Amino acid sequence: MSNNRIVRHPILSIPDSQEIEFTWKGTLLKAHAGETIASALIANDIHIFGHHHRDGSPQGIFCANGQCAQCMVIANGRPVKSCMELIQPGLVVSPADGLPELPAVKVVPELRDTEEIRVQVLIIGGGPRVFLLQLNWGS
Amino acid sequence: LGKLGIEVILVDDKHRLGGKLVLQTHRFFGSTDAVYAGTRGIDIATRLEKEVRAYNTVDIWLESTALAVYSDQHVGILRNGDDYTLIKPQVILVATGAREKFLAFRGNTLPGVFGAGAFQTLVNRDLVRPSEKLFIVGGGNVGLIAGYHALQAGIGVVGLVEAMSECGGYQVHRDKLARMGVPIFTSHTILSANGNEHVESVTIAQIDANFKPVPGTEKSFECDSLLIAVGLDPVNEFYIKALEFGLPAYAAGDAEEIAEASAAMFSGKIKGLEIAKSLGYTSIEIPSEWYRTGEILKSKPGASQSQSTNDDSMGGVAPIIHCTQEIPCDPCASVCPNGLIYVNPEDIRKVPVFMGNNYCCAVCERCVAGCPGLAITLVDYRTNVDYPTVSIPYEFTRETISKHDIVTVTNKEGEALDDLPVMSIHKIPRSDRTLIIQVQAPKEFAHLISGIKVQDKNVTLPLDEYVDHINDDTIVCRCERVTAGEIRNLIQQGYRDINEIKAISRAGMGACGSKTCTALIHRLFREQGVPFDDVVDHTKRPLFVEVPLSAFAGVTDTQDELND
Repeated sequence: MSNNRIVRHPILSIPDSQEIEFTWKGTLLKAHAGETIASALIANDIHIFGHHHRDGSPQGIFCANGQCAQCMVIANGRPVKSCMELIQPGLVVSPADGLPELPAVKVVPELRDTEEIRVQVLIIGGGPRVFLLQLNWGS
Repeated sequence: LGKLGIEVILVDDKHRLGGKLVLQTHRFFGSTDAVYAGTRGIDIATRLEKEVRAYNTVDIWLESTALAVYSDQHVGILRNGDDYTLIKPQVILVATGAREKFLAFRGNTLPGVFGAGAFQTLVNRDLVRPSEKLFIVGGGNVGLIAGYHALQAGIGVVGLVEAMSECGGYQVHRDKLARMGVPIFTSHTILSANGNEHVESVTIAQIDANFKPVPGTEKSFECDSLLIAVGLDPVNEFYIKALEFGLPAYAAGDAEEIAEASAAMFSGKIKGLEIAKSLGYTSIEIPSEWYRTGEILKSKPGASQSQSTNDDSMGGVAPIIHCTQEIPCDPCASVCPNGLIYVNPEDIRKVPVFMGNNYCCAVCERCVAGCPGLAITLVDYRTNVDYPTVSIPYEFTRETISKHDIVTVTNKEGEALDDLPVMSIHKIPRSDRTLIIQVQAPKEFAHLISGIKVQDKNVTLPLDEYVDHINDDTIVCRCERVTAGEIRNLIQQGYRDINEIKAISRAGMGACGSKTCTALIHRLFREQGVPFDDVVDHTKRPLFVEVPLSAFAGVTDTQDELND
């Protein structure tokens, strides 16, 4: 299977990555520790992650931002967004063909109350806007 | 906020801080003083992350997604994927950025069609190549910069379509892409993405003044992916809900108004001070110049001037500035050790001017290596007045070019001027990964040389015949696979309430929470001539992403309770 990894880049340095293994449709594939399932699949030249339940149309990566759910795969039995979930050694990944089956619950699980936290400022989003709040003031 | 000892919880759904900065390999535009212009986005992210982590009252929650702002002024957070927590802040700052607009065309959901953000994430963050031949839809800064990033990653860029008669992004970005050998089709639109299980080709056509495709102008290109960069919408739903429920709220960056990242950084600085003031932690007045700087950084590109065809430095040495459009950017002025390049510090949108005469320039080439738009060359006539040496910035790997290689040099807009041998390839001290290539060129056009073609023209050749795509598979709702035809049909039947359209067709009922289709449905109403006042918009439901019910129930360890 071809390798779609970028090994040379004029700007980005290529980090040494630890190689791990996972399976896709029963085939053993290599991935880099710390990358998402989606990137591991694309690195292995796999672009079709499943087929839609309504019309069987092929599904692949679209937003890579955890928003669209088009890249859903089944990982260790659970439907996950492959662009947000990191690959793990030995992860069993298969395409989301049609609607995924929900895992059955064996026993009534133990529940706990939702934690409630009070804080002065809550910031949603850790992009460029946020940082300068902490900077540049003193002066 | 951290500096003033204010307790802050910062939530972000990614694995590291930095937002889209971590995807930006190019040097930033904007103001060197105010927002790190001249530094690459990735490096700004690293620097800022380190600094913010130094404040111990700032608690950073990564891999944590804000789900909703509730009427009791609590904010629901899904922490680490399955831990549901409620936060009651005194103030909320929404810095959620933007979401990409989608486009309706036939074949628009084929694997291989993706957003610019997805492309940059895969290529620049994860260092994987999702494509070998890319076609770009949209000539704003996002599409233009993504094209450049693709070339740098060794991906062919087959072409770019832009519906307007000019690209909306900065001219320096457009020119840079054109010089490298990417055809830019203005007044063109995409008709279809073609292929069975994956994109195999794209079909485009010219459009008339009413944005209708002109029959007979169709062209198809072989490509394996299509990058959609047709604009951004603010992710502002938390902000709107917070205001509605009386929780003091601020929005910064794209969540407030779509603009460049430099503007977003500056708006964060202002909002931070506003919040600290509202909490009584400081009484510093926010200088009015800050608001003005913020506005300047947000400006859209302004007037273009025609470039002088003469070179008055003939005989000496001087930089040639191929940047002729008013944009907020000033690194060139700050890098010249002799202060010979002037950008009006009161208004950095003004076009840079070289102030020196022929003898002041120290030929340090810092302006050549430092311009984020790769829009400055240096022409040196001193050793050979008829064949001056031209220094050209180059941001591709060292392996792609060798001394004595014959390269095609182009003018500012990308038209080939000549084929010339490479005299030298070097880096200047303190240069940030930009190489400088020197060629010797006849004096008649040495000053017009602006770049080097890097892409073979075979990548960009159209197919002999265009690919006709007749399937009615223009998808509006990707999650539920609802076509434009189905929704158009409902509009024609008289439906005006988007909630009814949702109930009948399921459009907007899917996993993404109608983030992608809403704007397209609005557009279909417009296209059908229905005034927006007649349309009942869909009811916005909370929950930003899908959440397993077990998270709300507080199931302590889901894995143990499940069957295999």
